[in-house]
Amino acid sequence: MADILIVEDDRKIGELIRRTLTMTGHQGFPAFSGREALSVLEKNRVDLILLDIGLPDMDGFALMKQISVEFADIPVICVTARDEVPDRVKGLRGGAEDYIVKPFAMEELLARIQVVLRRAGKEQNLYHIRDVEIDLAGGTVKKSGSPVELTNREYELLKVLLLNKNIALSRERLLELAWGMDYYGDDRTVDVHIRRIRQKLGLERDIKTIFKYGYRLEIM
Amino acid sequence: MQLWKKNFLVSYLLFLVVICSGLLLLDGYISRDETEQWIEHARNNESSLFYLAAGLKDEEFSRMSMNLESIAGKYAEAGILIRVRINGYCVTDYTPEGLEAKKAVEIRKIQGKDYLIIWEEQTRDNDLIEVDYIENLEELYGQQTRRMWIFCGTALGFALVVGLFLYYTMRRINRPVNQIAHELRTPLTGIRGYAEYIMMGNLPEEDRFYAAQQIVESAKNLQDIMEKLLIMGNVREGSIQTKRIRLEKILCGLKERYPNIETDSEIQFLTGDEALVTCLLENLTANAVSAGQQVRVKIDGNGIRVWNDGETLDVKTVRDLNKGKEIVENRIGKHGYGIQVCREIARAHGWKLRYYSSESEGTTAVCMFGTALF
Repeated sequence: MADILIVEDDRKIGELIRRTLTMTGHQGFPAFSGREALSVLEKNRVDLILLDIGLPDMDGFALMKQISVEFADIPVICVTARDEVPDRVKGLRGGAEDYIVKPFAMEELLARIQVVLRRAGKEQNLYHIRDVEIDLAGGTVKKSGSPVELTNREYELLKVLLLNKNIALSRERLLELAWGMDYYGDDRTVDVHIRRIRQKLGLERDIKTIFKYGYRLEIM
Repeated sequence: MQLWKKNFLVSYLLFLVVICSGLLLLDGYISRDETEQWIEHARNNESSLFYLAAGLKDEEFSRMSMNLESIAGKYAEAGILIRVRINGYCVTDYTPEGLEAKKAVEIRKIQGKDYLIIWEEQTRDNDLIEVDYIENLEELYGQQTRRMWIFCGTALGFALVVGLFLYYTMRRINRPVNQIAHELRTPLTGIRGYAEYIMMGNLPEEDRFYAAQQIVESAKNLQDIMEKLLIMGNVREGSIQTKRIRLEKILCGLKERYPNIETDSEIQFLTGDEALVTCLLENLTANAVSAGQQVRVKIDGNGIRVWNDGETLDVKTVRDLNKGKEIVENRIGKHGYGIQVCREIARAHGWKLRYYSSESEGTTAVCMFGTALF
């Protein structure tokens, strides 16, 4: 998974992002100022930067400019409370791949991180859950080395669970992500497909049922 | 476009329409009145001329002709053209060729210029006397055009001054609301984020407790901001209740909250709104405590001084702080929390908030009392 630099002056928010990233398998490097961020970048190789604009020692836009010169291959996502259109435009024109306004849903932040990582060719495509191997690039699923036949929906559902691993997703959200916004399905549809995935891949222990809410794929 | 900018544009355009149409109506009224007076004056001149012609008609023709010619010549020098006819015979004629009046009084364009034409015809002792009086209106119209431009210029100048005043006032009112709304986002992100973290993750008890603690802290932070918003609302509505405040009580409260700070007051009482002054002192002290290790709160007859030994603020930040620029509070982060509220409170009391920062003397927030009573 990706190494992500979190440049956020508010320690609470920085820690929240770091914990959420850790939960989903990424590694977060916190930095509370522009100078600290540059120092982390010099010492570590990172795949993505989450950048707050209002920093105590320098303007986030100025830092982004510096990053785009010295670390041009690292994509940046602006995570800020500034929601004015000129700020968004400035951020995106300044080289940010995406712009997220606080307060945001963690699920949204994770989804945007995935998109940016995919665009940058840094997304993880091969997952292993005990003897199950899932290759998202090739679209294949193997159990103990033998291919497993999954229907399109089962595969989509498994992919959603993988991309949001260790995060509980409600049945409604799973329907929305795996079936699409327009699908008027019953929550039971999700239960049926989850049961089939569990049976086919032997993931009874890994896909946890969250009582009266939904499911979570737990991978260490 | 921000709502307040839209409001400003609508108000300004409305004001512009009102002031321009008001001045144009006034100009129209003055011009009409002036034209009427001009016509009245011309009619009087024409009548005098008519009576003169009537008086001279019985004299010898050459003498009468010479007299009228001399008078008409003088009128012509003043831009007034005269024609006098008696029994159809032209005694004097300075009018343009082929001009025949159709009405008693009319304004007509001749060779691209506007003229006032007065025609009078009367029979006296069986003699038909006709007088044509033609006066150039260019001077009057020029005068009216000049006045109209002066009025337009005045309207635009006035509108510009009022517009600028309106713009800066509306911006000043809107800015603190923006800032506070901006500050609300951070605790909201904390509350939402940590709640989602508890809900979505398979967390050990320790992590759950940590997340819950963060939610409580963020909620407290939110409450703090809401209170400041309410205080600022009251300050803006002008509902401050000034009275003699016992400073010892406020300073003791501060000491209880921040035991490591030093407090010192040379005066016992201060005139102001107790709740607001307490809020001002608390905010300045909270900022100083978060910025430095040592904090000193000193009050004397000139003002309140809150000093800290924290990191020096750069010249630009201090300048921007003293100018009340919003970006500064983001730049200095937690240490600048609520500066806008302090500034509003100081302004409501007629005081002035200034910041000074140097490496040798640390950072001091000074609230100068000015003309306040003690």
